[in-house]
Amino acid sequence: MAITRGRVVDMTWQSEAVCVYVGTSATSAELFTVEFRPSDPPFVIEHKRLMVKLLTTALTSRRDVEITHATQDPIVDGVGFPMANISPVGPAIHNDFYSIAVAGIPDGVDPLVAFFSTDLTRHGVSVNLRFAEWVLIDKLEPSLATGPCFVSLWGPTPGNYLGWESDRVPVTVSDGPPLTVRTLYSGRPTTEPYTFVFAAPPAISVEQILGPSGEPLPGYITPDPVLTNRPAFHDAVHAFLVELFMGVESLLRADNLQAQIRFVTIFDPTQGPTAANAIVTALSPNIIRPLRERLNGFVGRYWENPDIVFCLTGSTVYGRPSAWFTTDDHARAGVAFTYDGVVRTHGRYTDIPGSAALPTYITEAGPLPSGLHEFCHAASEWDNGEVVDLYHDGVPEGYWSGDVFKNVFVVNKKKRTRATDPVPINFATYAGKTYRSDPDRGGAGYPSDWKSYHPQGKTALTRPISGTPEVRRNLMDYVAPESALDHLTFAWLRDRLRAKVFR
Amino acid sequence: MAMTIGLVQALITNPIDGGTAQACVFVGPSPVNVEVLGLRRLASDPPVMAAFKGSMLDALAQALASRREVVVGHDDLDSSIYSVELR
Repeated sequence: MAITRGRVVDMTWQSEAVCVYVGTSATSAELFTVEFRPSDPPFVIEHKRLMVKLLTTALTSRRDVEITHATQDPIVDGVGFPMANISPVGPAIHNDFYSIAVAGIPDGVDPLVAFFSTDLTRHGVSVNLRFAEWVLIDKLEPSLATGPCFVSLWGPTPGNYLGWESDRVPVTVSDGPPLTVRTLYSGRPTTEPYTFVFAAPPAISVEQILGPSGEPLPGYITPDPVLTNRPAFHDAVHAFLVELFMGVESLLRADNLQAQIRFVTIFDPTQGPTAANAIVTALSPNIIRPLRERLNGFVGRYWENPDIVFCLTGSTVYGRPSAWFTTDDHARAGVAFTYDGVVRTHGRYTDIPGSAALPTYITEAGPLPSGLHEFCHAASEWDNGEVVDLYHDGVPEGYWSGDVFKNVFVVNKKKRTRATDPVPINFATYAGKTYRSDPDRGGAGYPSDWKSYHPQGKTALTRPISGTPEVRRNLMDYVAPESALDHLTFAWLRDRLRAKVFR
Repeated sequence: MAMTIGLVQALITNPIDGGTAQACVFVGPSPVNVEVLGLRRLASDPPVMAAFKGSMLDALAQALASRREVVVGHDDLDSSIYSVELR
């Protein structure tokens, strides 16, 4: 058997035979045939019919094929679409996200450019974000010519004039409209990949507020301005991806989790300000909060079943982010762990997704990066481990579920009996390892009236001149680009994410 | 029952071997992260089954060409495809 690879440049049907020309052009092509014979049994006829359909698809989509045939014989025995080393995700549309999965970019290739080329033109578009297995263009620029072309990735390498270039694969650029639901990266090839959805809320539920005399007023539903500003939504998705995966805190880079997570955006300008579409609520004076009980219904309309939903609001009044924990699907199997001698479970599957509401005006330039902070809340769980804020003294104790008061388990915060008691040396034992307490709150010190205390933070050489290790401020205490999780919360969240991502 | 979600990164129909024609479908998010699934057509398949399997293969080829996501159904411990959804 021999295999010939190339583009199908022409096909002809005549006299119960199909002639297929494979090569680089009509004048440089090899002829192959599929002949339908009266003696062929139905099974063979069906096989030939399928091969012709695949070849027709290859012709119309300009894809390379590999034709299996006997040596010195033009009869087609098998047809394959070979793998390229890049794989665009979804259609190329002006002003829409455009992502390309890639089979490894050599070290040192920087910057990275996507080239859209025809026989006559070559248009470079800067890649805005780069992960190990995929790259993202935030908005495909409208100056890009519409119609069929080939896309490739290119970048200079140190000492190599030509740089590195990927395979060229055929795409068709259109001028819109942008997709309502866009998969940026499809995630681990499994039944239910761990999924992040970035959703533009069509509406905001404004909670009951007080009137001029302090009298309670009814709440109301108002359109979320984000639906009138798609570019801001794209910028915010970019900014939060940077925060989640490219900051000091390596939680989501550990174990190459980023290559296994599914990323989807939902931006549906056809949706009106209804209660079902109000997936965030505005709380006085400026807090924006996800309405977790509405999320499954909302994202389910778009055939998504996420673990985490980031609701990106366009409100400039209610811009203080907040989050809700995940509710795991306790009916399905999980991974047991022991914390301070108590056996609990990292659920592998999700019942109600963890959620965070964030304003679109938070970008890489500020004012405060909080996407990863809110994610850490959202990725933790109501009953089997809450990761809570450390910048106040309160420690949640429980909640009413109907008539039953349920105690909550907090991973990263404990309480002394009296504020004057010393901070215990050890904070907790998790998975057989003892984690120490943070004696001085990352150098900031506990206020004298606080009873709460935290796990010990990571250290880093933040003073390179003196070489003195300094404790990083805790990400759940102090939201800043240089903050990081403490050792305990990092280990607990990493194990929880592993349980979910590799389910 | 398992589902594999992703893009069709590659698709190969092998030559007929005896009474079997095997197609291999590579589904995943990127060229280096794929599940290899199979679609086996048998000479003994009744015409209805043969046509159904052929139409699934055609759908997978269309998904590959148009870069659409697919959800492919197969048994937990078997890579044999029994359902295809185009998204």
